[in-house]
Amino acid sequence: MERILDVNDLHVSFDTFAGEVKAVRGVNFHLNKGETLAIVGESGSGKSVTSKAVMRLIPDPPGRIKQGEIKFGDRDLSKLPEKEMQKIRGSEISMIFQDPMTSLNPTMTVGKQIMEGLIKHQNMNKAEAKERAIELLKLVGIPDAEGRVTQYPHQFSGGMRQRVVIAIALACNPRVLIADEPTTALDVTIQAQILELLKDLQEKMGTSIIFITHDLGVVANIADRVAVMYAGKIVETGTVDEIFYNPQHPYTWGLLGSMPSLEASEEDLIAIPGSPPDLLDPPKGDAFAPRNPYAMKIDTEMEPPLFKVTETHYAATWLLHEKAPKVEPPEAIKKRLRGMAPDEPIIATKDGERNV
Amino acid sequence: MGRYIGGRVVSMVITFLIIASLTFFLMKLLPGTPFNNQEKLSDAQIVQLNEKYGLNDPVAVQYFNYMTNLLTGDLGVSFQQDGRQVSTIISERIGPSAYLGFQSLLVGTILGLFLGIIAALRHNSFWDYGTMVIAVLGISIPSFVIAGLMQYWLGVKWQLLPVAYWDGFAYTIMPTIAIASIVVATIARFMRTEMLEVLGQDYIVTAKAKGLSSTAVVIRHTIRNASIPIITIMGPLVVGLMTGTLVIERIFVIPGLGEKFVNSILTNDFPIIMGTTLFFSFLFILVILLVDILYGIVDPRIRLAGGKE
Amino acid sequence: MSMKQEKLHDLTDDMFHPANIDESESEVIAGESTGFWKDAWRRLKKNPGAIIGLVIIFLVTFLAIFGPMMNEHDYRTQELTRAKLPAKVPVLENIGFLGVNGVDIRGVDQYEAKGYENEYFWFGTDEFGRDQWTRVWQGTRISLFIAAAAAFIDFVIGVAYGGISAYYGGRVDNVLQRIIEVLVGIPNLILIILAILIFEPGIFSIIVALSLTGWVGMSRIVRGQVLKLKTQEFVLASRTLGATSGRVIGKHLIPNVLGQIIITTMFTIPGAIFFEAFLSFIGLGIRPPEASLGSIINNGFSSLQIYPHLVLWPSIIISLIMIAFNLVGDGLRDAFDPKLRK
Repeated sequence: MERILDVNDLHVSFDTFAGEVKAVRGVNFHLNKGETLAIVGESGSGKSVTSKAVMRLIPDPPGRIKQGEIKFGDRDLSKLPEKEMQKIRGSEISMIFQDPMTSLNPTMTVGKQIMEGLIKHQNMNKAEAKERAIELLKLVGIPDAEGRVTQYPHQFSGGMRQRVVIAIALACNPRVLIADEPTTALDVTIQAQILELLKDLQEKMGTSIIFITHDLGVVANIADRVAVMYAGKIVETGTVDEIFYNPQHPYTWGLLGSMPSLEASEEDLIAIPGSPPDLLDPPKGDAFAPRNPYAMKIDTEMEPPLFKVTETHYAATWLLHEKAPKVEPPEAIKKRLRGMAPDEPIIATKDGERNV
Repeated sequence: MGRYIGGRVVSMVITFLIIASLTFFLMKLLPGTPFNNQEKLSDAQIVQLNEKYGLNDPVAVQYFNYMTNLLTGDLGVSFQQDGRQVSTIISERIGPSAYLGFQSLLVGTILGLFLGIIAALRHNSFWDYGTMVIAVLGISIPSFVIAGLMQYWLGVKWQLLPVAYWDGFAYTIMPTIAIASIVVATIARFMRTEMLEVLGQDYIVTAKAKGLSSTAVVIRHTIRNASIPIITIMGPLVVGLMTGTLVIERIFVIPGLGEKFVNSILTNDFPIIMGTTLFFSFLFILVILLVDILYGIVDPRIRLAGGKE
Repeated sequence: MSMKQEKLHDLTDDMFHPANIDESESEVIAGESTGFWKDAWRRLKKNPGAIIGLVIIFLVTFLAIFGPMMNEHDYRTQELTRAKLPAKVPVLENIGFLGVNGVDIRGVDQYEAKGYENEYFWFGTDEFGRDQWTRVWQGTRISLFIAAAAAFIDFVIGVAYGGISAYYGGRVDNVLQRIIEVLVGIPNLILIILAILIFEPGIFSIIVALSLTGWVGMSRIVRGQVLKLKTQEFVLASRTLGATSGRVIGKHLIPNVLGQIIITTMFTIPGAIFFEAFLSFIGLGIRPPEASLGSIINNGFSSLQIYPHLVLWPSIIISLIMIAFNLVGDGLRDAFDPKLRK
């Protein structure tokens, strides 16, 4: 499979008055052509910062990419001069943001906002760009596109605005689309529509998508592969089936356990205790250890490496070490896993094989 | 939009009539008559003058005459200047004041916008701190102090510019700086805050994510949006400018309306005080109205919603 | 991936025993918790501009009270033979560039010429030979008094008016706000001038005239704050938790509104000082022999070209006062609004 984006050992820090906040601490992931990679995690886990770093949209100062490389084709985006980066933004990699109410310029017609990128990247004149803008509005499912193109953002509803944002992002047929929680600020019914639209457009245009979210329900719906982030690191990565049916990291268990579903009764919902660590001063060892009921001594001493579960499935937890006691996910999670895959009861083991 | 403007014009006329009536009755309450400081006049002459200017009529009649005259643009006649029309005196005097006002507003606004934009774009830099210092000084130091310092240093000591009077462009420089200082300071400070606010908005990130150059982001998205609210402070600024010209015209001996106004206060020339007061009030109300309409035109959110509530 | 598999085999067994991690450790909140006022004061102290402003205000107030008593001259004794002497200060007179050696701009030692070699007038004398030092501080005293009185009246009327308007709401609010609308439609400059013409110029009429429209700003801020807080979620939250009205007012309303009130007052004072000076300029200020900073500067302008010291000293002082109050006002605004801190 062709890899179009390859992020290696990415470190992003913010310099604050209190000191250096290490928001992203050595992240590795890649994106294959035409697939959707979901990056999942709590607020502050570094998922948004990672995606902004790929676009080089981290405000500098105070933020900076400390080390690592972002390979896009044969270019390393982390070292590209700003001028070169501007040619890539919006044309080869583009981005959709969380809140459609604030991500459009209130004093500019939506048409002009779509046209800006076209004029810049595709050397269109105004008339061509306007025509294309109308096409794009139709493509993202806005009725009466010809009339709507000269309207201002405040004349659109939230869902419609997010469609406009998507139209802006897709204007120049980008190869990669980064969607930073694009449905979080929307009503549930609208969320589903936007997800369908994205899937539909991906099929038509062959775009690869990085989908940032904290909502595992959305992940199951849209993603091919999943990367779970915690405290600025990827703690588990695998295909969507592997993550949902055979999770290895206690944090992933926690995430899955806290996801409401129709099958799960109320007492089955488990909250992850505590809160994420302070990234001003990340703890020694495994950052998740203080919240991990299965924490071992080594967790407080050494950071776990990524243990290989399958060719596509890795998890950074000492529980996968051969000397670690065999630990099974909490009963409630196993029950839910069974609920998701009724024919195939699964018990996770450290070597990743399925013991029936 | 049309209905909105219509409504505003009606309320403007009502406010103006209230001000006119208020001014009239307050004038009637004033102690002293316009003629009592002219010692040369005999009692008989004062009676005669009072008769001539209708000051012996009942107040109601005077009020009625005054208001009907006002509607035809007749502001009455000066008591001191041999019965010359107040409207003529105003039109003679308005030139230098208007010139000074416009020039100060223009220079101050351009310089203020420039400083505010640079300060925000170079946030926490030398430019930023420099602008903030200028802003605090400009807002704090009274225009007459700036005028005095300039008159002494630039005018008397170094003889770079004429100390006073009104005779060509060189004579306008010092008064303009004195009046414009507050405009520069106010606008620079306001623009900086607005720019920083806009720079933190999500749609700026959207614009950058489109691949626009930083210049395009700043000009098309940031400055444009940040300068819209500037219009809201233009009303108070213009009023402040009028206050400024009163004093500055006196200091630089400029034959403007402000200077005339101050003199008429000192000589109890009621019709001129009233006429000038009404003229200033009219300008003030007009500016507020224009600012509101302009704001509606520039900001689509207000334009299309049919005006502010 | 990142670590060699072989190396991982070297780890000892006991490393894989369950660890007892103290939960409370991860829940420690960094930094001490501070109250609203303490926090604001801490932020204000970090603002050099505000501290400089506070020091200037303190010094100027001190001199306005005690300055006139510091030498043997009084503010009204006229002595034409010693008129318009330049500044002369003991000790400092020997340092040439300070220009306080009694020599005027033409290079003549006026003290010698007029026979006052043994006298010192720290700021010089005015056109009637009155001691400028005493007059300037006397004038500062009056300017500050007018500003403080106007600010106090604004505060009382503004808080009452705005508070009543917001508290009762509905029709009361509607009527009160319409009145304000008419009032602000009239340029305050015009209103102030007319008022002073009627009351006859003097300290009292200046204060009244400044208060005539001055309170409107305060009342709007108080009304706005109260209305905002009435509906804000943290107030609703504490109500839901059973807080009494008294507690809501004491814990939430007063700290939030009081901050705004103090800030507004800080900006009212320089505004009033400016307006008082402005009135002196158009001939509606304090009447002699009383003097305010504005009237002293205005008088000095007539002989600015030859005797600049008559304008210079009071100008510096009025500017310092204005700068100081603006700096402290800015500092307080930042200190009371943590959101403004970047």
